[in-house]
Amino acid sequence: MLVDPMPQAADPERYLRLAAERSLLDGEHAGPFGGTVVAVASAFGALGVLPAERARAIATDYGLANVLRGRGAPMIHRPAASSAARKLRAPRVVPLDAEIALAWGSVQVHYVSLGDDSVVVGITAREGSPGAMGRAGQPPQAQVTDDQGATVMTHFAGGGGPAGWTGTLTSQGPLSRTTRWLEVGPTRFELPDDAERQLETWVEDLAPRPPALAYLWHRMATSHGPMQFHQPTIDAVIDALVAVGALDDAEPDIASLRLVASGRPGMPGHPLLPEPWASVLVRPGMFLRRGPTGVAAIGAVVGPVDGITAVLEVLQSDPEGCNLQVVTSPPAFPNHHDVDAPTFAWWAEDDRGGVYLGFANGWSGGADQARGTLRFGPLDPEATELRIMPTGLSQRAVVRVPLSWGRAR
Amino acid sequence: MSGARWFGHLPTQVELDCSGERHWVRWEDGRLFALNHADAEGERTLAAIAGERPPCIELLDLWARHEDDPRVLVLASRGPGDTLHRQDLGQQSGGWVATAPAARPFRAQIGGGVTLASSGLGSVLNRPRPGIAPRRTPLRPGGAPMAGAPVPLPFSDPLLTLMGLAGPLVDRLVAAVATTWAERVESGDERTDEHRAALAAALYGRAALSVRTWLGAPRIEVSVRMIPPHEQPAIARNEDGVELSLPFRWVADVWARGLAVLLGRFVLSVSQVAEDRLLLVTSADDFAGTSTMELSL
Repeated sequence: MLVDPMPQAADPERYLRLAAERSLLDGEHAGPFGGTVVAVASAFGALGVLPAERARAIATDYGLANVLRGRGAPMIHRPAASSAARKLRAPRVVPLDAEIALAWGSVQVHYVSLGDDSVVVGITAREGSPGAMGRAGQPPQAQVTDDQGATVMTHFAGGGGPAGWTGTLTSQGPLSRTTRWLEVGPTRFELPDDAERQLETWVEDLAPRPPALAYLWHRMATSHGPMQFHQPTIDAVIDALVAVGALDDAEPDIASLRLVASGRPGMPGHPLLPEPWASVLVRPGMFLRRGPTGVAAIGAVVGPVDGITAVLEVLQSDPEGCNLQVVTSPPAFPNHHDVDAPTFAWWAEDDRGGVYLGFANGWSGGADQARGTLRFGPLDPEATELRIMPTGLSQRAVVRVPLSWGRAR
Repeated sequence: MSGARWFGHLPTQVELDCSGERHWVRWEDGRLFALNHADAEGERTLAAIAGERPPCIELLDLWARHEDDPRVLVLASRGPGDTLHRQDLGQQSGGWVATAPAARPFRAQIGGGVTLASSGLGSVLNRPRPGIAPRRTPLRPGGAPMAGAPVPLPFSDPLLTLMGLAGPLVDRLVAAVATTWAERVESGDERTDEHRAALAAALYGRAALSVRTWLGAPRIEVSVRMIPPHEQPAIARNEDGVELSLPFRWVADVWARGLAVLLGRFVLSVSQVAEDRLLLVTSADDFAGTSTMELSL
């Protein structure tokens, strides 16, 4: 537990600055997410314990101090202005299952997404020759044309290796949303004239909780990578909130938070492990399951949820997990915590009791929106429905997605 | 500390590349001088017309803007063992790379003629990196990033440029900031209300590192209570660690003069009893009470 170095340090700014001094003297390497100082500053700003701008300024200055000592620096986000939100429209998403040949390799096309600003083609690719995808020092490209004769250039973003690459080809500009076909490279795809998809979606309020607890659990769900729930800064944040009177140290949830944050949640049925964390962290057989293969077109707009609107575009599943392509406005970058910028926890539940928590797996953004991929663990092959729940601090949206998987690979 | 404000802070100067010429900027008795620019004000007027200021004048102006900036205390070294990597700043901040002569020691004579030499604080010298020519750089804050996009820290912060100066000059800047705020605290200046937490943190960091260095215990817990100017400083050891009660002026009078630890004793306060004599109140590491020590130049 952080020992208060100064008596009566209940003043939030004094507490934050002293925590920062200790961090500096102890030589803490903050890492890309800022370490203790940014974690405490984020909590203070988010909960109104300290004015957000003040908290951010302190975190920024101590980040600079770390830079001066050769310890790197955290990324400090600028807050998204409320006026920067834009009206989002669901794209037209068409599942496909076709193989084409491009200059740099053979490509399996899984879906196309025709939005207001861009075209996205979900692909899996195999290089035509070793290194073909990285030639010329730029990402692989492909030209895409619609039935109006308009053409855009798409660029690949994704990951992989010699065994194969998975990702998307994305353009900077749109094509006709109503096009009857698309040409990707030399190959034309007929796009079925499917009726506009109507999925069941709604927004609901979360059960009321003390703000500090809501924040801490939300932070737990938005601060992890794949199977990495260890959150060393959570202890510091809990101690800080208790010290400034924003959290009652007798609150039973504190022990559960520390347990989940320890990265060692124990066995199923642990008395301190609440749902849905127990289902996410210690689900039997979770490391052995292989998910189904296929694409589920979504194309749903939800929100605003705590002021953020999201478009869920498409779900693409493979044996190791599944990717969800989303757009948010204002931009809500996951896994990063600016002092007062909102972010979503991406929960999901299937109709067989399975619970999933997504993490960011590629994200980009601009002034008024962010686009990215959420990665979930392997889905239950027997599940026929997935409820995807982008969750804020006080609200969440629910999108019910039938899992028929379109055309399997 | 009563007495001369800058007693114990020797003059220091740095060499700059100023429009292709080697110029000198000197600090003395709390002021910064551009030795090669006799009419700094006149040059400012010319620069306003021409749209370009000589680096020496830029440095004077930057210094003046941050002479009472508490952020200096956040960025600067907390003392021996807290080393700043200044050599990286020349490239990152786009500012000057300046050289300084070896830090001239502050020599004190104690009792039977023992001479102490203290090089002061942060004795890292800033030298031009081979192959990187110092350049004139008008100082501007970084451009505003896109709202919502993650951005790196503002490496173009002008304060980073000041931190990149030669060690002794930065030490004088830190001393200036600490002295200014110590005087404001003592005069009850209402500006201290806004910065009280920052001052307390600045005191804590320097006092804690000094105690840890003094005791050779880098992880010992140190608690620091910032006391009003009229209260008596104190130090005590308990089962948790060390407790200190110090006024903010300790940063200016003791720490900034490199006097935090002297002859194995922790210095709680300094007062000037004569033109060339200091009286120090100190504690040994047995914490069995304080004793005084007199220094003379």
